[in-house]
Amino acid sequence: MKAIIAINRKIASLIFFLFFSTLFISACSSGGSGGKPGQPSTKFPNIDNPGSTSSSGSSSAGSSSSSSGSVVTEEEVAIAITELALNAIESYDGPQIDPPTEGIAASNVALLNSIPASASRTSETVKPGPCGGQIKTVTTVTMPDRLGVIFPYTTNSESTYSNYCSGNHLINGKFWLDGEYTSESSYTMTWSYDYTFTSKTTNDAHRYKYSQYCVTQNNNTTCEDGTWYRSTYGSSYRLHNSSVTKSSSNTYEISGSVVISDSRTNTYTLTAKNLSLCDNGRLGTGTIELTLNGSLYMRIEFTSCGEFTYYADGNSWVYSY
Amino acid sequence: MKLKLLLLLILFAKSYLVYANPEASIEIATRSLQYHEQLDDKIFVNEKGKAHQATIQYRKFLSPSWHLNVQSQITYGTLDYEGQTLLGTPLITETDYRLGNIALQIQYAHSTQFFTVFPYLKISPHYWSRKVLPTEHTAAVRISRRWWEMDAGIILHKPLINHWSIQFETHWGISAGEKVMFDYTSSGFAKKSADSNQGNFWGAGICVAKQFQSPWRLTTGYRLHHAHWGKSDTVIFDHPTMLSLFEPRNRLKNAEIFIGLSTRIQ
Repeated sequence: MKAIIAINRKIASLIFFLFFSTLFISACSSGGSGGKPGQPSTKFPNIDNPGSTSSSGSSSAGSSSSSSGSVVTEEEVAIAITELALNAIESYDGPQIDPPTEGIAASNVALLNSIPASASRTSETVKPGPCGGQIKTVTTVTMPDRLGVIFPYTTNSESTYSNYCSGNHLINGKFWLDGEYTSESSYTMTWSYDYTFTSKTTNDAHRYKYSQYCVTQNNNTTCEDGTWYRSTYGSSYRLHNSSVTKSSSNTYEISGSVVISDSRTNTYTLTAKNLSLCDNGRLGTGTIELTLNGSLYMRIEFTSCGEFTYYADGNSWVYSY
Repeated sequence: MKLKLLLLLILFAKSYLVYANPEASIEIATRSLQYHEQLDDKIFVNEKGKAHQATIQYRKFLSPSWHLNVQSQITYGTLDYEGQTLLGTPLITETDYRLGNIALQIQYAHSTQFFTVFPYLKISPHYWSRKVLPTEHTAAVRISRRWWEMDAGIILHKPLINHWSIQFETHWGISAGEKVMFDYTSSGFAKKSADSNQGNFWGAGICVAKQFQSPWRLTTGYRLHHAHWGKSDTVIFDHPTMLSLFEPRNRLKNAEIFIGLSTRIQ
């Protein structure tokens, strides 16, 4: 279905392109001012296959195509990459934390399914913090409807931290745990959090966004982890295997790999240089480049605290915020 | 004249002494029980079965009109359990059922031309234990409750011929102060208890009695009892896994056939 939508959009895009190119041929070929600040991109690359980029004159089509998952706008990618870089810097600058994790551990599903419901389990669990606040966890387990048969099952839980007091910090934010179990030794597990740690003494706040995706096959586990970003259209992006360094002039360099979680076929290499933070928490200088198999896919340049310019496929746009 | 007055006093005293003799009774019953647990108007635990019951009672006649009853009752049995696990997988097993209570009842006798009316008030502490028995795939759990019942009732007693009598009884009351104990120790959890919302109950019964020439009286009859309880508070466990439990809204229906023997203590 997604493929059909993508093909139809490509045909529609081609028609639009032929029509509008006769009127605005100079604008489309200049590669310097394709978009207005703050407006969606007019390009719709297939992120899994950058070479198959097509053009369109409809910005609304760009928005809807983003929600289909595998086709996203360059603007969405540029925003995501910027946010991933900011997350990485924030985590780098923040204090080392031992993030709390809540949710039903895999081994406990069998335990819970061995207990008769002579009382009822709430889908919500509220756990008070040792020095105030609370964690509210909502967990859903879907499993076969026969006793003694555990697999396959899925477990999804979301924990909300509300001024949860832990040591010297107050924690606000969310933790998610999603697991799919096909057997006791083969399963996938994704956990993510988006926490803001606030120091009770200095009132400094640091935000941590982190996720880990692990695949276990026959008890052999491999994991990818890193910071994450979810677009307003629902697409997920992860920066993993990242490394952040900070220079004496307070600029940052980042290297890592970017994965779009809804299509894991391509992993882009991210390289960021000379990034500096503005007072408004945005990036004010530096560049971020995204490459696939050595070929540049996107370049983002930060020249002020209120906007950035991104280049892809020979075109460029300005995004303001 | 003095002799007449003395005779009257002796007769009155004798009649009072007859009332003043306490009465002891024992009763056995077979109970048919049906227990439901309900959440969001959906019944997810259903227990049915028979239980045995034994009751002993001591009645003190404070005056010809005021009677004080002290009663102790124990019920036990095994019920069929049809429910589910905490994750919703259907489960069929059995439940061991134990119920005990002690009751203090004060009643007033008011005679009319056709029958005697006994309005009464009763207060009784209760204990109830349900142990869901383990299966190949599930562990045992025990839920026990303690609570107080206070009820008001009325008995209509009608003498028949040949020392037979019949009586009808109905009562209504509330249960309060309930504590629910969750015993999931067989699954590695600690015991924890929670307060429960109050409940209410009502009952009705019919009883036929035969008074023999001796101090013995034989009784038999049928009783119905329906009780409802509200949802309990939630208890939270954090080991071996995070788990929060509560006793959902529940209902117990009880019908019993009983036979009893009572005697005046000389």
